[in-house]
Amino acid sequence: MAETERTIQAIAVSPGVAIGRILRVDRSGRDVEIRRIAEAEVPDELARLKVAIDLTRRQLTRLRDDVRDKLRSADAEIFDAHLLLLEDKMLLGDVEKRISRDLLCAKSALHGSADHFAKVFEGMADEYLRERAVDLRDVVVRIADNLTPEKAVQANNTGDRRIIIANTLTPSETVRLDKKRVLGFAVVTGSATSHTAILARSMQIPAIVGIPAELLETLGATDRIIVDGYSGKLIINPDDRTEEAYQTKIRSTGKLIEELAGERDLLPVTRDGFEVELAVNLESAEQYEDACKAGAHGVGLFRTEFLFMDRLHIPDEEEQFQIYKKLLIAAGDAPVTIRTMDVGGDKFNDTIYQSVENNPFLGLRGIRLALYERRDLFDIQIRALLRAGVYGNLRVMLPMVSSIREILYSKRIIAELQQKLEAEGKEHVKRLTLGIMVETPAAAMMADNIADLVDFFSIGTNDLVQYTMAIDRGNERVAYLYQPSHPAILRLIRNVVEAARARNIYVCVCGQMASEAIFAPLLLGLGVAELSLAPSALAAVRRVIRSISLHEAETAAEKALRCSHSGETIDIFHELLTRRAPEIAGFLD
Amino acid sequence: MENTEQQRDSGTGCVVAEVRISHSLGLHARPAAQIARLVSGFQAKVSMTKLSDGLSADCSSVLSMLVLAAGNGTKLSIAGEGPDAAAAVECLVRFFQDGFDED
Repeated sequence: MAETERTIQAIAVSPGVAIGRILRVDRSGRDVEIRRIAEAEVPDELARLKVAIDLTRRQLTRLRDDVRDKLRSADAEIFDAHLLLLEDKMLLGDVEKRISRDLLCAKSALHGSADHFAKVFEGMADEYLRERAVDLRDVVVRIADNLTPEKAVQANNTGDRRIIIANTLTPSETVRLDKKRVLGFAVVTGSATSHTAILARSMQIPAIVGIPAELLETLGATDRIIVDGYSGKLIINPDDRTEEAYQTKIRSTGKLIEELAGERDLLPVTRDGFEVELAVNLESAEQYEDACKAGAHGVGLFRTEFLFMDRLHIPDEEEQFQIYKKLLIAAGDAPVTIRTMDVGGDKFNDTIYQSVENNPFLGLRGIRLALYERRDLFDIQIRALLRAGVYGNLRVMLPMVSSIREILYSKRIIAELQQKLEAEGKEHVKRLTLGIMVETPAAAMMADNIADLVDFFSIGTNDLVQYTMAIDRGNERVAYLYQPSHPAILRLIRNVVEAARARNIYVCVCGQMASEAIFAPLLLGLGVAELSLAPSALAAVRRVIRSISLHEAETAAEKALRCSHSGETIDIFHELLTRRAPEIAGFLD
Repeated sequence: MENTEQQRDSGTGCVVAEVRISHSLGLHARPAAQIARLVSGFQAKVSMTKLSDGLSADCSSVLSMLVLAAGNGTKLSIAGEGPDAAAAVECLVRFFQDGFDED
């Protein structure tokens, strides 16, 4: 019980402090303990099984087609056999019986069936047939892996809230975390700008990444830990003094947050009278109300890929239309910037596009995937957006643009869909406000040419930093090179701002950089007048903007543009922040 | 069709034929999958029974056929029931005669 305190330095990705016991989430799904369900849960569990089977079917079909193209068709038939096993009445009947009669969760039922039939096969005289147990196990493991992890997290029915410890959490797993049961999380892989970290911030759950993998084995359910989402520290079995210090920190942070919340109706205006537009980044329309309470003016980035995350179904045109319409009406005159689905990289490849790429971040993602792999989904989304646009101040932006051709092609598709809607007599926007995400160095460098074709730029700093610095943002070994304040990034941003000014179009920054108190003055100084942030960052950034003058921000930014490395630019803005808003700077230490 | 006999019981609409597996691997996953696929093209309900021990399997379920553990040389009776039972059974009989039609 009286273990000695131990501190491990990891990487902070979502602010806040969590103190509590741990809950380990095991994704492999094998050797999990048998979980029983209540009779009332049976229909849900059967539905979960069906969803996982549907997803497995799509994956296997894709695999089969890939193999058929590359290898002999006889090899592809192995996957055909797997596909048939997937539909097999005897297997599914057995699994379903284990769920509805034995009241087992889908995962336990699947493994129970696999064990049962494996025994039958293993008892066979014929060696070849004995090995069929492997095929069966393969299919069952695939289905089990595709079960939504929701219930695994909810399996914590001890009632108390826990800190999740895992090797990795995917974005879809993160959004399914039940905030009421989760205090925070600490994972082995990831970085500050991985989508999982972005989600943790938006859900306001303290999180750290980069903890040592061996902790997964050594930490037990009785260990008490502290996750410090400000400094990145993980403290195991803290002594009373440490815990008291953290409780004090939680209280003082709470006080400042309360104080800042009282400022939500104040305009984000600098001391010399320059008004900044502060919008929010959202993953779902439901978050908008909370964002408004925090004082947001409009939506600078609505990440629609999260609509496609649920494996149950892909929303059709009507459903998307209703979602966009509702959001636009809620926002009134305030602009709502909706980004067309940005699938790929680390986001939801499994639902939309199943393929293994060596370099997913450099592969088929964003607008590339929309135009050349899933035109069907892109068309549906554009139609829904065009129709919803009449209900408010809609702006649409395209993700991951690296070539002017992609913009021209998209505009042609939009024009065609407008004609179709016209012919069908459906109400739609005739003149769509269209912009692009500037997140590749190519787009940033070509901003002057691109500015002739679009109505606005939105700089996605997370990807822009990743692609400019040539680092994989999920790789903790090169994470130190993730430097938003690197002069190379500042020069690219400046280039975009100047191109936009020359054509009189506007620029917004919607990447993580905009949410960081230290960088808000830097962005203003570079000429960005619109920031779109995580709702949780609104209060602090508003306070910082109100504490500085545009003039001093510009002077500091001019200096930063001439720096040779990011450390110098951080020094300049850290000094500015400490001088003007020391209470906010205190957060960073 | 020389070495198989197909019998139709006009009372029940049931068609039965006998086959012998001639493939070194027996009735393994790939042919079982092909049988299931072939059968899905017919309305008839088709099953197979091992003559040696009377165990039977549903020809639309790969798993139930594999559970038979029918090795090379196993004799099976194939039974179809339904409007196109005769055609379904004939199709399977040919598949067995061709040694599962593999390279």
